[in-house]
Amino acid sequence: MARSDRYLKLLLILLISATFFEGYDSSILALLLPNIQATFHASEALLGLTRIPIELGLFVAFFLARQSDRVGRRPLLLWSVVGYTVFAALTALSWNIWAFTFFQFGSRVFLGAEFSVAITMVVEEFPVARRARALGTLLTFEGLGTIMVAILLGLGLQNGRLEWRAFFLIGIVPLLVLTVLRRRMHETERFVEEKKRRERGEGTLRTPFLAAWASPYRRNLVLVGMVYLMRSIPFFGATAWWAYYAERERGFTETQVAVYILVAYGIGCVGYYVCGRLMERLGRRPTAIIYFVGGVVFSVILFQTTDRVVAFFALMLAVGFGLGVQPVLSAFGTELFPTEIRGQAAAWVRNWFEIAGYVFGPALVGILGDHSTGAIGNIGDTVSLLMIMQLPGIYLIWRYMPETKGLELDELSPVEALLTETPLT
Amino acid sequence: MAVQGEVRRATFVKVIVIVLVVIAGLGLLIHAVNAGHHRPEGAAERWLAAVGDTGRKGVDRQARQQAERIGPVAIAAPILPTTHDPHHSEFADLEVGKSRPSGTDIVRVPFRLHEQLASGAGPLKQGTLVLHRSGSTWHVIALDARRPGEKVRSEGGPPATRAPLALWIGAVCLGIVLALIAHFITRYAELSAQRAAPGSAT
Repeated sequence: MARSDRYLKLLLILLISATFFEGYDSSILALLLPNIQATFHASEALLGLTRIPIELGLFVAFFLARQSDRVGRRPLLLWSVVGYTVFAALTALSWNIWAFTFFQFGSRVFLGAEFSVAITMVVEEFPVARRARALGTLLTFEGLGTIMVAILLGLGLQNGRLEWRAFFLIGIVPLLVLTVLRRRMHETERFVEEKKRRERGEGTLRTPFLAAWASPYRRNLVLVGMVYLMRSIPFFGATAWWAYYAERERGFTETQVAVYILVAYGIGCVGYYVCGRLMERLGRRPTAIIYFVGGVVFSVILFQTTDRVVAFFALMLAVGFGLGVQPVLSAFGTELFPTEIRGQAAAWVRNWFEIAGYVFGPALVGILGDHSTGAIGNIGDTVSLLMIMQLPGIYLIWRYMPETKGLELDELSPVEALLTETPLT
Repeated sequence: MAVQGEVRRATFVKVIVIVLVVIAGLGLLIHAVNAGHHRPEGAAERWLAAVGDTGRKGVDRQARQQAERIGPVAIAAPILPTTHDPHHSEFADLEVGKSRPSGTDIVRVPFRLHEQLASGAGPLKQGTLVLHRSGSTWHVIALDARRPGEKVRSEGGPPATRAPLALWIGAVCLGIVLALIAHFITRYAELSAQRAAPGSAT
């Protein structure tokens, strides 16, 4: 039985908190780092060091997210929201940099699991005609999370008595929303069917750790994983260093950087929505190729131009294409795998392959672009050169990625997934 | 029901070990290509950034130590604001330009910054830092007025460093090599999956 429109709208609203707070939480750390540094009297080197365990929380989230194939999507989502809220509140109470690091690590674990399950639920619950648009809408809120931090910064929330801690206390909001609406959220129909199948003895109750690597799914997992990896290294390198690059290599003031981020992100978020619509009209593969090419071109322009007007539009379009590609990537990471391993496959792709970008992308740019000792010696050229890493991703999508436009999930058989796709012409 | 063609844990561990070896190899390669670079522009920028933090609550002592390692903080007196917000750096922004040789082991690095006042960004300060090389490290020895032609990038000056054309061509070639590697990995995954599938000839 198909879900009613009313229920799907409610579900989308409930899931939005997962993506919104992923953008929000990550941006607090990026934009309020100097304030946190001053509170804990931490050196830049120590701050850099603490980022590693914090970001590894997203890797650990993999082990939590894969449980959604066993216990169900709904309970895992609800407990992840509770876990995230508790750790966000504890972060606000941190007494030293190590307490802060531990609580942020915990927060990332639950946020990562929440995000993975939210994407899986949208893919499983929305009919094919509306799935792409729903993904686009859901992921738009990741960008809006960043904008919210910029707005709160502009309003001077960090100058209040609670300083930066107030930003983390806002993380309690999703729990309040869910407390009111949780009874109206149901388990996905596909998971319920899968559970019944298992109870009839037609499937294993416990999904093996390496089930997503089994022969029917291996090719697609490697393929989607490499596309994620090739994108995430240059992309996270660019996002982590743009503000520093603008200030140190282009002479922007802190205020100009904040205004650029606010306005360019605000307009660039339209990219998510347009991506969702294009996926329906053109298909997954052409949309992904357009977005990857756009992301590379505008990022290179952004990190090469000295003209501030050009830089503004380049930032807007780099955000629009670079971040806006998320809906189609999420479709690749979920639609190509059957229900019994979908949650786990999505977690492998995101929490193993994409996490490499979180860890190595910013590190590569920092090491190679170091103004004193780097082999390249500047951030602008380093990011531009790394963008070339996206070329293999574009090639893989063009040459191998299966097209799932207009196909219901039940129509995608593992055998189909094994076939080599015809390149786009 | 067991998943068909399931991967053995030992195979997975082998793949993880290979990936870690590749990462370690890349780390060594990057370390090797980075070795021997000691740019005066970087030293000048670090010194100015550390000087800016000497008035910032919480990090002031460490910043002073860091700055003193590169050059005396006293040299910066003419560019420091008289009053400022201790929650921020003493400079609202900071940019350095390309160095120019000015004698044996001496270079001049132009800079441009705005003082950070308690009320917001303050006046613009432009000048040139004079650095001296001792061994492989650079030290700030003086603050000077700019000479004609000394400009930072945002004023139309040349970039402090620029990736050579060969590096851009090399990066495109690397992109093609990576695409080929990705192609072969995908084909290998496809073939190994087909071999492992039930009913295959092997």
